[in-house]
Amino acid sequence: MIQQADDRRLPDPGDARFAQRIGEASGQPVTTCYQCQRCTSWCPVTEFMDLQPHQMVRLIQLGLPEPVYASRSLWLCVGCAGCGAACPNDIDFHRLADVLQQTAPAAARAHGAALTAFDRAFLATVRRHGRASEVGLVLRFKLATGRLLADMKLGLWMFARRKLKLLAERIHGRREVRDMFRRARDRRLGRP
Amino acid sequence: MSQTTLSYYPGCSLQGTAREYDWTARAVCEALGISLRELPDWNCCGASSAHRTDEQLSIELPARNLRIAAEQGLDVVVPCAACYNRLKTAQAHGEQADLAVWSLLEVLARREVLKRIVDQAVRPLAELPVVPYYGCLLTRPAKVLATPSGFEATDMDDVLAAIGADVRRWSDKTTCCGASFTLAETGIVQTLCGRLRDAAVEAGARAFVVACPMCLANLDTRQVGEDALPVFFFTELLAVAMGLDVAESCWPGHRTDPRALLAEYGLIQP
Repeated sequence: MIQQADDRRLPDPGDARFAQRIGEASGQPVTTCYQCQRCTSWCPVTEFMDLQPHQMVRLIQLGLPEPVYASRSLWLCVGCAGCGAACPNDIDFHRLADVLQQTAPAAARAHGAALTAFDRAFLATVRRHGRASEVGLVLRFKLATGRLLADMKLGLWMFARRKLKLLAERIHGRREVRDMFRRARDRRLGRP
Repeated sequence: MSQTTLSYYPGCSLQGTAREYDWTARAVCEALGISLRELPDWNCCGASSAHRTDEQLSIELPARNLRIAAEQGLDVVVPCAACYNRLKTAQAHGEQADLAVWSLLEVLARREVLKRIVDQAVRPLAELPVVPYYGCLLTRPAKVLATPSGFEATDMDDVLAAIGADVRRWSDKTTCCGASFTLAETGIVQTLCGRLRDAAVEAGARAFVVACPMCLANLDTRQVGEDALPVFFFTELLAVAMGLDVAESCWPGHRTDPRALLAEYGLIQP
């Protein structure tokens, strides 16, 4: 007797467009990965990761965004680009991580709260002045994360040595820079 | 690059925590007859935060600097490894692709410049054992930076050998220090910097030499324990060897004080 198709159902097919979307946005040929694991071998932070880089690539290929966005690994890519130099198929995993971070839904950001706070603090000073302000970055980061006492000794030492510039440098072309940030915000909100 | 006048893009770090890199870069170039003209009204390159946040923003920020540089009509030299990486990435996206953008290390490792460095090294480094540490952003991605491989790097070895350092061989020249994670993931940076320290000590080095503000900040402040190795910008050691006064104003800005080591090798007065 012929077995009914629904008795041996395949797992749900993933979202094929996910691989395509991430591949196109990052400019990386994600479909060429054959799991040699050289990216993971080179990656300096795998011991801190729940999913290894080559596993993330496989999940992207399979069209399974949920476990990718649910992983803490997404926020641990330090951007050293060793994965790409090691890859025989010309995939820069760190570029995939960039795009995944850029597109992460709000719930996924919980795993990367500190890094997100750092990036927002850094970019806020750039948007405002046209240049990054180290003092502004640290103050904003501390307020956002509540890590008020971290690195206090180091900070005071830098202050005493006058290594920290208290007044941010402002450039004349601030408006141009602000426009870049405005366009980025419009893209994020899906505005034309 | 036959010009002796270059546009200079210092970047934000060199105005703050890495000001010693700026001071010594300017002084060393001046002594070598390379005239630096700071790029007018330059802006932040966006660094790692921009490319983690928005693709187009991470290209537009460095592109504005490239446009200003193109108007100046000079080759551009960039001391900061992170800025250099972002400017080259924007060029790979088609922004002012014909403009010549050099890292400061590349410029100072050129053969004719190395000859001048040898001639001017009035106080060679007395076989001070160091490891050249290039990190990531000067070396990768190779296709963006047009370097031979993402793991090969020799320019700093050549510069340090020219001024009489004992350049130790080691396998972590281009291993990551944790880069922009220093505030958000401090523990990871401490782990990575600790491993680099162990590898450098095993290679017989007494100090790291770097060409990146983030590498210096991380290694200088995140090596945990008593046996931290001092860290130098390569331009600081050039300033020492070339007898430039600017060197002595740099040492108070190092968290891991290098003065005892320099005195031990007779490079400064104890």
